Amino acid sequence: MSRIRLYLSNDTSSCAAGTERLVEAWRKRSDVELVRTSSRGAFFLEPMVERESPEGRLAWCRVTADDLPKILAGEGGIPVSAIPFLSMQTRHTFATFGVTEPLSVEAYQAQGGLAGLRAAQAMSPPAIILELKASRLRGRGGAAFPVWKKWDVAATEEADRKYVVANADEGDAGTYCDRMIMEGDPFRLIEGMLICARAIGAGAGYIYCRQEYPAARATVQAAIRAAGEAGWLESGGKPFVIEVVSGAGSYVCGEETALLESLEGRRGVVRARPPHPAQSGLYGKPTIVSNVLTFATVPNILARGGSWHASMGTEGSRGTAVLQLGGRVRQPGLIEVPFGLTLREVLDQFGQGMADGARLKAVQVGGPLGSLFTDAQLDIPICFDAFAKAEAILGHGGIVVFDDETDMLELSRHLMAFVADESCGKCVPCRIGSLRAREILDTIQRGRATAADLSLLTELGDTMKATSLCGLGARAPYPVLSALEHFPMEFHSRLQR
Amino acid sequence: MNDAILITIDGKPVPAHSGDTVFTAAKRAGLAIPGLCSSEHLAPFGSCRLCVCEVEGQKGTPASCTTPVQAGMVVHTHTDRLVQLRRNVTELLISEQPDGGVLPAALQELARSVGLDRVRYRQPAVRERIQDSSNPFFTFDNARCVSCARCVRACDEIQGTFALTMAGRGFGSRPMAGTSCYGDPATGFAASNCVSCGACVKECPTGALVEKTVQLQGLPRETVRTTCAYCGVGCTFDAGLRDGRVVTMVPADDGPSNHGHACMKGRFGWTYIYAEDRLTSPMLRSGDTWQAISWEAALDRLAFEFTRIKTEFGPDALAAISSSRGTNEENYLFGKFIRCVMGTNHIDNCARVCHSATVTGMMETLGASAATNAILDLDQAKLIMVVGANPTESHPVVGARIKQAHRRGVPLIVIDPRKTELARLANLHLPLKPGTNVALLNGLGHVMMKEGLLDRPFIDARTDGLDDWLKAVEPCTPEWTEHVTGVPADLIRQAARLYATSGASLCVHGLGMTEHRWGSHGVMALVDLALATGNLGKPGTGINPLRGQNNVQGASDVGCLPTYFTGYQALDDPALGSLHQAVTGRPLPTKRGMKTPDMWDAALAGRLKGLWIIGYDVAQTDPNLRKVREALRHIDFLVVQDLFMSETAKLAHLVLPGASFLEKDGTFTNLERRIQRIRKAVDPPHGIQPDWQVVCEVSTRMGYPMSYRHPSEIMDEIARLTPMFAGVSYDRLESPDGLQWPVPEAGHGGTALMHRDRFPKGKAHFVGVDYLPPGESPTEEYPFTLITGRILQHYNCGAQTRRTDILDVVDVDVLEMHPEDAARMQVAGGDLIRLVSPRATVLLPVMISERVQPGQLFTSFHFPASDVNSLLSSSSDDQSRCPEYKVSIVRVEPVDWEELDADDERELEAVRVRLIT
Amino acid sequence: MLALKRYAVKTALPNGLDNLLAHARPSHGDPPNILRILHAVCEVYGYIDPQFIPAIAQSQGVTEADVAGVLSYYPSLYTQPAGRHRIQVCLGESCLANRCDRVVEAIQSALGIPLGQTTPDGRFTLEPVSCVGNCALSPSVRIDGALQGRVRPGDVPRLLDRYR
Ligand SMILES: Nc1nc2c(c(=O)[nH]1)N[C@H]1C(S)=C(S)[C@@H](COP(=O)(O)OP(=O)(O)OC[C@H]3O[C@@H](n4cnc5c(=O)[nH]c(N)nc54)[C@H](O)[C@@H]3O)O[C@H]1N2
Ligand SMILES: Nc1nc2c(c(=O)[nH]1)N[C@H]1C(S)=C(S)[C@@H](COP(=O)(O)OP(=O)(O)OC[C@H]3O[C@@H](n4cnc5c(=O)[nH]c(N)nc54)[C@H](O)[C@@H]3O)O[C@H]1N2
Ligand SMILES: Cc1cc2nc3c(=O)[nH]c(=O)nc-3n(C[C@H](O)[C@H](O)[C@H](O)COP(=O)(O)O)c2cc1C
Ligand code: SF4
Ligand code: SF4
Ligand code: SF4
Ligand code: SF4
Ligand code: SF4
Ligand code: FES
Ligand code: FES
Ligand SMILES: [Mo]
Repeated sequence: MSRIRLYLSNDTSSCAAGTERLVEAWRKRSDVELVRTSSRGAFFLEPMVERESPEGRLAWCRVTADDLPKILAGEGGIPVSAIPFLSMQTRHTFATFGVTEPLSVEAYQAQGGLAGLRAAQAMSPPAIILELKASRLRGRGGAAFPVWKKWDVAATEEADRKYVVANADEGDAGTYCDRMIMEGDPFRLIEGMLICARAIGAGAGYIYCRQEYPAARATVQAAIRAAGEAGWLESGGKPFVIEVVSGAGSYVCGEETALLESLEGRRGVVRARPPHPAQSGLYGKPTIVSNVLTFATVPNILARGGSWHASMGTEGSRGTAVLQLGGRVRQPGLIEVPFGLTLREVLDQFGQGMADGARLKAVQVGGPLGSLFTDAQLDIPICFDAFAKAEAILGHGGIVVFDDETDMLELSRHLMAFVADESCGKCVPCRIGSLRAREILDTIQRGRATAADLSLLTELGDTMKATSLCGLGARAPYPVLSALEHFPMEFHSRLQR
Repeated sequence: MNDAILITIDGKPVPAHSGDTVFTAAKRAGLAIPGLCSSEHLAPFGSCRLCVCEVEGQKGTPASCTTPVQAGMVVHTHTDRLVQLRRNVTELLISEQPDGGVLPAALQELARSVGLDRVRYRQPAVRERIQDSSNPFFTFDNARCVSCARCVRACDEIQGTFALTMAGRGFGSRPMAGTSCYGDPATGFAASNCVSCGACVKECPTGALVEKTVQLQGLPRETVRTTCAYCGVGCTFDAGLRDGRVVTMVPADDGPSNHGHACMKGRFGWTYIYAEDRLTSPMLRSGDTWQAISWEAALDRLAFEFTRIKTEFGPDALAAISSSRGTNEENYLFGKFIRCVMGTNHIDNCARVCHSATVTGMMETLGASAATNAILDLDQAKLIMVVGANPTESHPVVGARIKQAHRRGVPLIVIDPRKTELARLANLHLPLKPGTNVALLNGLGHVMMKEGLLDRPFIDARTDGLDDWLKAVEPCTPEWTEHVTGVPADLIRQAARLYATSGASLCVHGLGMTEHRWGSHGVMALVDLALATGNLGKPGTGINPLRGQNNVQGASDVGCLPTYFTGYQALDDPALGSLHQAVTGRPLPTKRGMKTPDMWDAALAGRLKGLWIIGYDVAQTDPNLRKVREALRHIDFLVVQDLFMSETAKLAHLVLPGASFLEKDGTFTNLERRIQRIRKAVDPPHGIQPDWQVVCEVSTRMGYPMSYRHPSEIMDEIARLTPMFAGVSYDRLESPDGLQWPVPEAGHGGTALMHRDRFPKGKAHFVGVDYLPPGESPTEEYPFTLITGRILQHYNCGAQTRRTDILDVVDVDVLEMHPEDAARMQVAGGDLIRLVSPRATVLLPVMISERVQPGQLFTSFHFPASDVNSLLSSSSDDQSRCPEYKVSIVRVEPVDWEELDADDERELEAVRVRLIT
Repeated sequence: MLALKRYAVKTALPNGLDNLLAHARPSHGDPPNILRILHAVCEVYGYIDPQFIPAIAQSQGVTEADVAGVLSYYPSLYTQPAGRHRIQVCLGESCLANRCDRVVEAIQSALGIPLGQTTPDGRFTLEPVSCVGNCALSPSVRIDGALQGRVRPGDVPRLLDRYR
């Protein structure tokens, strides 16, 4: 009797949703074979179980252990292709998610993996950089800097050693696509890093992974081992060593220079720039620090050509946006779409509105440093430039929706307290300013503040924006000031009379 | 670095060069941009954000201290917007200062300059109240700190000690010493590895770190530029004065050898000038009793006794030992006195016991004995080799510079039996057996020869005698060398290759080269390596003896040697003789004089009757002390001139007080041949006269009037008599850079790099030397080899450093013993043991230390109570008579308390108590 | 007695630490890495006793201040032992939007301790975390590495029971 093959995601979130319990329950059964795949990212449907069918994969959603007979009988499954949340997306970087086994070298190649690296190996390093230039890819870690420019600087810098560093610190609450890549498609990250290494002439790579992601670390480590065994880990004829390094709970260590300090084993304090890491980074050597998603986007560009990538998206933001929907929406999960959809379209089409009975109050895009949007502002297109114009950030693509029960003053205080806690303490406006801002918000909460305190808060925010050394202090005021702007009454009504 | 760039700051054209930031360019142009966290001595950091600027065509308000200049950039630093931002940042800084304290002056000034009159934050959280007064010399008060981390960066980037760190993060982040955030924050400095160099204190912009002398006596009101009188680095200082007293010594940023840095001794170890037991008046001894006498009486008596001895026994019954601690002028005059008044060449100085082997070794090979390169050349070197020197303790400012170079990636080779701080850092540490330098250096030469690493063009053009050397190194295979020196053959090969191929290898060496039975040979073997690889006469190369005393270079330069006149001129040169006659009116004695050890033999033989010693504690610091003291007791009339009642002074008939370096004018010559001014900052107490005036007085009384209104006149005379000083004069020495000799004529700018085109003899000379064993080798009875040398905290006989708060840091000589030996001998750290040599027995506490190898012991000689030098023999270098301080055989015995007499016991108990508490 | 102290190392170290440190000694020429060694110690012992600092510093060839500075910087390098079970509640924005404050309250009242503390019986340590990447299933709670999503206050007793 042949066993029926069932696909369950091995992603941390899927497990937290219950796949782990299913596996536990079904593990010993002789009639099923459980295959652990990456996740499709439709987390609102997890735990999700799939099996093959003539019409492609069928999915059973929000499954409990008792649902097995139904699944074995083929009852009630819906074709994955008929899940609108997924079918409406344009998946390139995440195309194989939910399909492949994360650590299978064969599956990776069978799905087109390594084509980018092979293409790059046939090109000269300058040609690779030209291809990236043509792709108009901008970094996905937050700063949206053209990737080719950084690579070009590192490539032309003379040095005995160069490094490639993947920023896997993914510190923004509300984001998880880097985690998904590392857990679900680690070879894609490795492939991207290898292409970069070839382009700039690097001899070693690091993946700096936040400590909160133990599964991602383990998977990437296993993937490096597998890639090594498959003979992939070389660059320019020399072995290319990749090491996974764990962070230690510091948010600023996602900032590239603090990350490098931390990689060197030191206090994760921000370095002043210049020099930029591409000129002088890890141990003073030219270093490319790029986000995990950025690296994972590169293989397709090499495989399909820069102009293919440049053909998607908006004028300033080419390719696809990878958004992570969370908070009080009906359908939270991972969304990959070309740049250009409006925020409202994303929330409506993919989020399918608010969770039961809740009403939208504000949307924060880009993590704890991102600005807040009200319902009236949701028609902004998802693209770097539109956001920059609105003094907002797309950041790492995290979208958190708050409902009408949210106390905006408390949310502001919470965000500023986060910054005060996470400040590296190097520069004055952030070290002292974030605490002062939190104190003012405390005072308002206690009903002891006056209008003068509010204007002091605004002025302080302006000072922090203008003078902070890094993005933590410089961005910290935005969510607070945007809350104050859009919900003034929530602040003013609590002032001392 | 020097490509000129023009930028515009606040409407003014400002010249800059690549490497400048907006901040540095503005500062040089005299345009002040406020800022607390930047410093010319530290890498750009950008933390205080007070220096924000606007650059036309760019967004935002970047920090000017981290913004590199770009040609044509137009920068604004004082727009309304910037001033407002600055005011707000200042307000934040002031908001964390605890209530009730006095605002640091820097913050007051900032507030004033940006027009901040009050802090708008209500009941803001303030800085934690943490004070750390555990360092003897300075305190830390967190309440006054702004967490700019300049102190931490100073400790890392300038001093290379890493004793400080920022602790915690966010608002509460603050500097701390050691691990004190996990223990008692009030004892951080004392418990850390801080070496009290004071760099952090100097960098602190707020006074959160401040000298205790300033706390006690207030900030100085005026300063006097002078030179440190401890070691040969010759750091430039500004002595800070208030109410006629010295309250600070702060290293000067434009000091040519220290560039703003210093060490514990120079920075904080000057308070001995106010010691209670300083000699205040001349003292005459009869039997065991001392009697204070007037200056008149003392000088008369001295003149009388010396005249008497000269008349009775002739000039050769008199001798003088001059002080390398004194000025060039004093030393010259003392030499003039011995030659013109006494009529003999019996004069020596402590160079004898120090780098005399360097002098003979370098004279024979290069024809000049001083450092070939300047300290600054350490920045040009592509490799630094340290041979038998411990600069991070003995020449700390040079040591720090070597550490900086090493941090920049310059490879470091250390040849030393001990694992010194530099040895620990070194790329290659060659831990040879003491006394085997010649074998090791020849072994290196062998590899260079065999592997074709010699610089043939240099050898052909600039040297002769190569074959002599090749013959000497031929048998010294790495394996043979390993056998003799204990250094693995592979290390020898690596070191040889590194040294020969770096492109610019700079050597520094110290007493580990010279204070040996075959010290001169060691120096020659070292010079040979430099000659063979072309590492001479170029920037970043050279042979650089780290001369020890502040003016040991000068004392020898100006003729306090029995074998040379000033400028190493031969005594029997007839031309010199007639010039001398013309200038001084007296003939120059041509017969070579006695070296210090010969004087002891002469005294014991009754040939030496009168001896005048200035500032040199031979009865503590010369070797084989029983013999030295015996010799001193044999002298008819012993005069000692010192600041304190030294061990030698105790044996004198007449003791004269001396004036310290802060109390007189003159010049010192540092280890890079740099003649630098010292300037009188305060009056000597009790009408004490500087040494040179005493010499003049006595000379005059002895019928040869000497009258100089000022030391500058003495220097003029030296310049007339000495070709290499011909261009030196006080008006030229006003420049902060001083002058590096040779300065052959008035317009000459001095010589930073010697032997550029030719050696003094034309060609340099290879001298092949064969390895010979040290004077003593361990036996069954005396199984240990004792090395003696210095520690950072104390200075030579200790007379000065023991009279400062340095005593709170180290108050005893200790015996360092390897853990394996300690385990075998069953001694623990802090135990007292007896050290026995064929000559004497001393008691010392033990420190377990991996700095020494098994079978070797190390101790310092800074405390008279430990009497270490009585253990040593009179063995010395054949040619120079430099004593073999570095190799003595000893055994270690447990101290049996029953045997001790009551006095011993009490003293020992005191030592033990000090040691353990 | 600084000179003596400077070279006197040995404090009593727990079993095996010596060995661990010896293995973590950077080979000659390699840069030291303080964070890495602290991670390693923390992993084995659960926390880093500041008493270990001198030995750790020595093993890496760095100063005690360097180690202390790093140790005091990173929140997840614990310097005190935790309870047997570590409960981490996410306070990230997605969890916040989904009322994690109520979950925190529920746990606090079940355990009788505030955030950041350990129960007197040493069983549980309760601490905040900001995002574990489970935002699509907020609120998130992690107990000893096992992650729970969509946690409601009512789930808390059942959740904790598994660890009692
Ligand atoms: N703090 C402080 N500084 C001082 C002084 C002081 O007393 N205290 N004194 C000053 C004076 S006068 C002088 S001369 C200088 C001296 O300064 P240094 O030359 O540094 O003097 P030492 O420490 O005596 O010895 C240097 C090194 O020689 C090593 N050594 C011993 N035997 C051998 C050997 O056979 N071969 C080799 N290669 N090395 C060996 C020792 O281990 C030691 O580390 O310091 C000056 N500076
Ligand atoms: N065991 C052992 N012994 C050694 C060495 C060693 O390595 N091992 N090194 C040897 C070396 S290299 C040296 S140079 C000697 C140094 O040994 P010394 O020269 O004996 O020691 P110092 O402490 O330099 O100073 C000598 C005296 O000068 C006095 N003095 C300072 N300034 C002045 C001044 O301006 N005027 C007058 N009149 N007096 C002043 C001080 O008070 C002090 O008493 O020690 C040697 N002894
Ligand atoms: C406070 C702060 C936190 C950051 N955190 C992250 C992070 O977690 N992950 C990330 O990729 N980039 C983060 N960044 C951005 C990085 O500094 C850097 O711009 C990015 O890693 C570059 O990669 P990219 O070119 O692929 O965007 C952060 C920046 C700041 C100021
Ligand atoms: S803004 Fe904050 S986190 Fe960034 S450097 Fe300044 S203090 Fe550190
Ligand atoms: S950032 Fe601060 S230190 Fe740098 S100079 Fe500017 S003002 Fe200072
Ligand atoms: S005095 Fe020198 S060694 Fe000590 S902490 Fe300050 S800078 Fe570091
Ligand atoms: S002690 Fe002084 S130098 Fe150090 S951080 Fe504080 S203010 Fe800056
Ligand atoms: S290094 Fe030498 S000259 Fe400089 S301060 Fe220290 S003792 Fe004085
Ligand atoms: S990002 Fe430029 S100063 Fe912070
Ligand atoms: S915000 Fe809680 S898991 Fe991301
Ligand atoms: Mo000396």
